[in-house]
Amino acid sequence: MNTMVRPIAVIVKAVCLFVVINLVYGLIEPPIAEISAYNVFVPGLERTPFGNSADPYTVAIDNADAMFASHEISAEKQPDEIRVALIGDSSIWGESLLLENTLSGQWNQLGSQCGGKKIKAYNLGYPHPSIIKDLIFMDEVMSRQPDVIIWFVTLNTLMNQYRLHPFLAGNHERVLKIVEKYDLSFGPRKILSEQETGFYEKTLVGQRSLLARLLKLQGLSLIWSATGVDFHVEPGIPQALASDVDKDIAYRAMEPGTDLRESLLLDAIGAGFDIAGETPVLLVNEPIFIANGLHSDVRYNDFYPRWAYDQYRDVLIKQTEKSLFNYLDMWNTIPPENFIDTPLHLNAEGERLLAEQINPTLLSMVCP
Amino acid sequence: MSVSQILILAVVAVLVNQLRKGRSLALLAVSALVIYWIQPYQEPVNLIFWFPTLTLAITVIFWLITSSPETRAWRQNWGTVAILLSVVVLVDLNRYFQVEVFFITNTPRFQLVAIVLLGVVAVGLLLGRIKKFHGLVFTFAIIGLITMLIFLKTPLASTRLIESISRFRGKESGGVSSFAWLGFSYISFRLLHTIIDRKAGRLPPVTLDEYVNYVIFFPTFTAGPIDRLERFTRNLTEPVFLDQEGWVDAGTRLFWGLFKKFIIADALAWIALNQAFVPDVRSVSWMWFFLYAYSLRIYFDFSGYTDIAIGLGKLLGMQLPENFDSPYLKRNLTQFWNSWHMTLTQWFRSYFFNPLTRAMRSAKIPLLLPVMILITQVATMILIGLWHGVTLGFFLWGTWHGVGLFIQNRWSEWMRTHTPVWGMKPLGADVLKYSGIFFTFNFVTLGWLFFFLPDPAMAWNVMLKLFGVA
Repeated sequence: MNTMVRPIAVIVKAVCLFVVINLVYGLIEPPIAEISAYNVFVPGLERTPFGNSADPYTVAIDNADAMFASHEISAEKQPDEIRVALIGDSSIWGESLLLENTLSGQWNQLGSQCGGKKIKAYNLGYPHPSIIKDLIFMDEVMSRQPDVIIWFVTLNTLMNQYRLHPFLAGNHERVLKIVEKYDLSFGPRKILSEQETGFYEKTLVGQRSLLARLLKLQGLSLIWSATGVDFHVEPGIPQALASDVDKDIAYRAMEPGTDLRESLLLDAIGAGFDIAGETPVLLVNEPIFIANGLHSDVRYNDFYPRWAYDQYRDVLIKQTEKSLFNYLDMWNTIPPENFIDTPLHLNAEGERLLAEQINPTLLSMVCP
Repeated sequence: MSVSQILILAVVAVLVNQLRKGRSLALLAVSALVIYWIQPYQEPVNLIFWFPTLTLAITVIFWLITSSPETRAWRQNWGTVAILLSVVVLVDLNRYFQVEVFFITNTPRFQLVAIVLLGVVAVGLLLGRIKKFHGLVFTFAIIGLITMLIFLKTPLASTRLIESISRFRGKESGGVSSFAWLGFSYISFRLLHTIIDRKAGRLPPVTLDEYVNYVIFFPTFTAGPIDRLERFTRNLTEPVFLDQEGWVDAGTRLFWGLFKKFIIADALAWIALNQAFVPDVRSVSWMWFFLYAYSLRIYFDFSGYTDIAIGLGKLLGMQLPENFDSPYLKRNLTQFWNSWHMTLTQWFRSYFFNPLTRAMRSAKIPLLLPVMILITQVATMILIGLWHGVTLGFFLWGTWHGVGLFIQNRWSEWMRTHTPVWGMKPLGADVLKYSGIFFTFNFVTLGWLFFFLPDPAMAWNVMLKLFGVA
């Protein structure tokens, strides 16, 4: 028998096999992002994966399916559990906080119960303030049987965007679906509608980056299981914010007197409540840092000048009253010394105070 | 090197190997260009340009020192000189070509490069006139090279120099704390090999292109193996003809190398124990698991690179020496070191261990054999450790292996006369063999703690934790 291997034949066969596998993969479009080691072999993550390549605990992944598949909310709901989904930005996710110090961590430490059922808060924040991102999260969370959704927003969340954040780009088909369904005047809508996923992007080669990150996410499940750490937090106590603020009175190049309503995606709030359907939603205006030093007469903090933020609050209150939405305005409820890094990020004590202050409203919703 | 760089180089290797004339010079040009191409970005002062240029300059000067007068004829070497100068000029002119995928575009000013090149040529011409060098020149060259190596491998020295350069330039050092002179550890050992052999009168006469090709041969430039000049030159002048089987063999080796490095090792890297998450590991079993992952990762990474180098070498018609031979399946530490980074071990055996042993044996008051074994093995392993970097961690890693080799040597000696009867039966022999593999693998694996954890105290704490002590 001739066992001689012919190099050309090997190369031709390899190329053919490679092409065929790619074609089949592209045609089938297997839901690979929904397959996860989390919640099967190891416990689910307590917050969505987020980070950079230097962080040994996590991987940056912009695919909502993969994010949710690895999250503990995808585990089977316990019979004695009241599921509370906390949706919001980095202040809910807890960028500078260990898991136990985040809002969900603090909430769960309150140990609240209702009718013999434990209230379990799920951290579904993500470090990107965008109401469109929140709608995608809302859409995802609905299949995980939440009992209540607490939706945290701030002025930055509601502001329309004109550039596509990597998370939104990574889920552009879903973004477009939601934007079109609710006819939202989202800035990059036109770009999204023109952006079609070609066949190449659906093949193995086209998806190689996502696949590599998905694989890494599964690998990191071992580290998560062994350490209980999901994100590198710099050791030490973060410093409180300075009480002096910038004197610039403009908000995102807008001067006082500008009608902010044109720049706010107010319709998206209604869309969120619509997606939630029968599930109760509590809309919360996030606490902000209120400076009391230099230039604090024109700005609340480095994010928000007073004129813009006051106008936003006014608009939001009117909108929620008109639509009969459950709404809590927590903007000034946390003392300034509990803010770190940014005018929205709270320290552990701040998160605890926030959880304690919202908890009675939550209980009134789940234990009528 | 990235996968795409390796695949491009594989194609280049195939093309170079097709040449029937000028193959050696073509290979030289490719290697010289590659050392610029793969040099990692480094601040300050365009070191990304100057490090490869210095590599070429030092190599040429060492050839002049080590070469015999009959190989220095201008007629034999002008082509090599022309190619090397052309490569340096071509790379420098990238400030005008702006080919960013190849090299940085803010290369040094041409006038400066021209002055440096003229200086190197002048030194070369001067050295070329000297027919025979005094033995002291070789000694100074060896000391100079080792000093450079120590300097580059000492973090504190590098940091100080970088800070001084940055201060001189009136800029911040930008947190850069070490020089990334790609391949210098290997270059220096190849150069040392030639100069020591020249001093001993063992070096074969080689032309400039053979010598430079040997030092900067692109498949082995970054991670070895460390070949010997005589063998390399023989192979360079008489390349292996690749028949059908040869092509398959070369391709298979390259493929496995890529698979080991970029699939297995890179995936293991995600879960390999590292200093960032080691304090957070909650259980002993997980600690062992991640340490094993590191142990396997370093093997697949390094042996994968070797396979890639050997595969590329084969495509060029070069049969490079093996560097790994299933080291984790060896039954004792001596066998492990005869199969792990073999060419480095052989280098140290030839140029340090054997001469030291000979010197100690011929000493007026000879030491006891066990003491001699302890000194030679520990000293050799410490030097191997320090070759990776002049740090306490590498020193301890070397000591760990040196002491381990000594203990194993004494144990083997004792076992020679005390092997129990059951150990000579097939089952007993198997038990001894597999327990040997188990102990050797775990000893080596524990030793890696000193290798990859930057703080020896942390390494020691992890070791205690692994045994449930801490």
